[in-house]
Amino acid sequence: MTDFLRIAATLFVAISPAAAAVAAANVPARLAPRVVVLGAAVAAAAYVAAALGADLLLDAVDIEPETFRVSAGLVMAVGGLFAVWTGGAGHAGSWEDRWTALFPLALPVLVSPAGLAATISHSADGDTGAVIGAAMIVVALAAAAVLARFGRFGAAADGIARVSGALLVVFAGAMIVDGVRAV
Amino acid sequence: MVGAVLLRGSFMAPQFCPALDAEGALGAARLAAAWIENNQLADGTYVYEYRLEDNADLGGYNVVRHAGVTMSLFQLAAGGDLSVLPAADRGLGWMNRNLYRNSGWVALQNPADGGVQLGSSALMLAGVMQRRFATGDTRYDELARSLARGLLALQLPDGAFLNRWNTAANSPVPGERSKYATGEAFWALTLMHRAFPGEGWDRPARLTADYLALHRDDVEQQKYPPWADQWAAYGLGEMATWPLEEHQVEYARRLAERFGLLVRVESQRRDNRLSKLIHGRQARAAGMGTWVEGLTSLHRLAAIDPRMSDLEGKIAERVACGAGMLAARQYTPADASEFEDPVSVEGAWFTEGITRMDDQQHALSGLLFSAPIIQGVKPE
Repeated sequence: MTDFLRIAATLFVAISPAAAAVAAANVPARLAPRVVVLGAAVAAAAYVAAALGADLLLDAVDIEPETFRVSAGLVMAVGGLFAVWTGGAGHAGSWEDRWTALFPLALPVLVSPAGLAATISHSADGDTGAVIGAAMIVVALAAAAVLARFGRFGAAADGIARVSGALLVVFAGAMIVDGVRAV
Repeated sequence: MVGAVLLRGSFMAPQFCPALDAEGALGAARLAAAWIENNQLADGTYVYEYRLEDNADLGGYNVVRHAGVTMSLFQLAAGGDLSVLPAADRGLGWMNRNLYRNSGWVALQNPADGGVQLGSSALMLAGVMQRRFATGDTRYDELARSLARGLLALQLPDGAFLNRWNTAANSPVPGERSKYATGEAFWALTLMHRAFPGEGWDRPARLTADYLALHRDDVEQQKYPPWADQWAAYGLGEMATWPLEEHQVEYARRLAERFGLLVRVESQRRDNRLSKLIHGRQARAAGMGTWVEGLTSLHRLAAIDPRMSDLEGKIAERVACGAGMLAARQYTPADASEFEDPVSVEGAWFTEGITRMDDQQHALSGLLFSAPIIQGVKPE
């Protein structure tokens, strides 16, 4: 597996378009496309900022990338277990607000702690370009999933979200082991 | 938010690597050597343990550690500081007066109980080798060969070593291995090959390298493999130009990962109760020094062997971090002046108020070999 595919797979289960779709199922009426696009743009910007600022951030908090990998794995594992448990993406409450694009769509549905942790960790390991590329693709997929409103296919989305959560736990475990085993 | 705070307090606690330049590292190594010299007794032995609180020499002795401390002085001499030779030679003299002689080989014997332990002879041999590298003096060459043959008397067909020789039965004590001594013997044999390349000392060394790389952790039931064996790392570093076989490189990489993790975790520890509770007590210098020693040897390997080259930069970072922590925790002359007997304090490292002679040994060696890495000098 190439680095890009590995990172894309990690971000796919960490951001989890299916979980975003499940969370968006609580919206009483279809979200306006411009709201979804705006939310996705904010999320994309957050991931780009996290990727570009990863080294600065870790320097500021005096953490080596290898050590952060372990912490990122823990955050991802918690996110994965949450997804397995709920099938959703970190927000089960109301979507009735004028700032819906920002909250809850961008944060925490599209910008999840697990997604951010994975982004920072991979970027700090020197894969910034691949991280940004993969994050853009996955955020776009998640936005499309939110926009699609699966309706009667909601149960399928829920199942995929839980499977994604389980995969996230596996990826998180690998990341923790990798961090522990790094020089 | 709660999760972030918990993480920051535990796995993501800030890492602190005090800055240290090459000159500082060498200065700290020399200061450690000065403690060893100043705390050497007339017969060539050293103060074994000293307690700061009541200025007490706690007595006790360990022959393996005597050989190790003396060897570290010879390492410093081989590094260019010949001023430590008189003290090192006194330490060697004590060992020469306590040799056990068998047919064709000798070993260092504990004068207190008559025990003959592999590690004592291995580190004595390593010290004799370092002395040769430091001075070019060949007067101990026959002693070195006899000691090396003594090591081989304890080597098993699979490359492992037994830990003791039973002088009464005139045979090895079966079944007892040491997680330290096998690596010590391995390294000593690689040094023998450097000094006497045509004499075949590389064959038993390679056999032990295979045992360490492939079997030791299973056979000796290491709970968290690989055992962080800096002596094995010394030996592998010595073998860098032989060169290593693939599985030995794989083992060297795993060792580097283990030492790197240990340094990273240590850099998150602080000398306060909360940190002790969450991260455990700060490592003693005898422990941290071994990690830096191991990393410096593996850095040499990484700089020479292209199969390890991807680790060179990271290993150098960890070396600098470990050496920086060592230097920062050493008692300087200014610190020592506040105590009743500054000579027993300056240059030493204390853990819970006590220093043991091998704290200075391992820290000295680690700091000595970290200096060129910090300076960016490529190993030969």
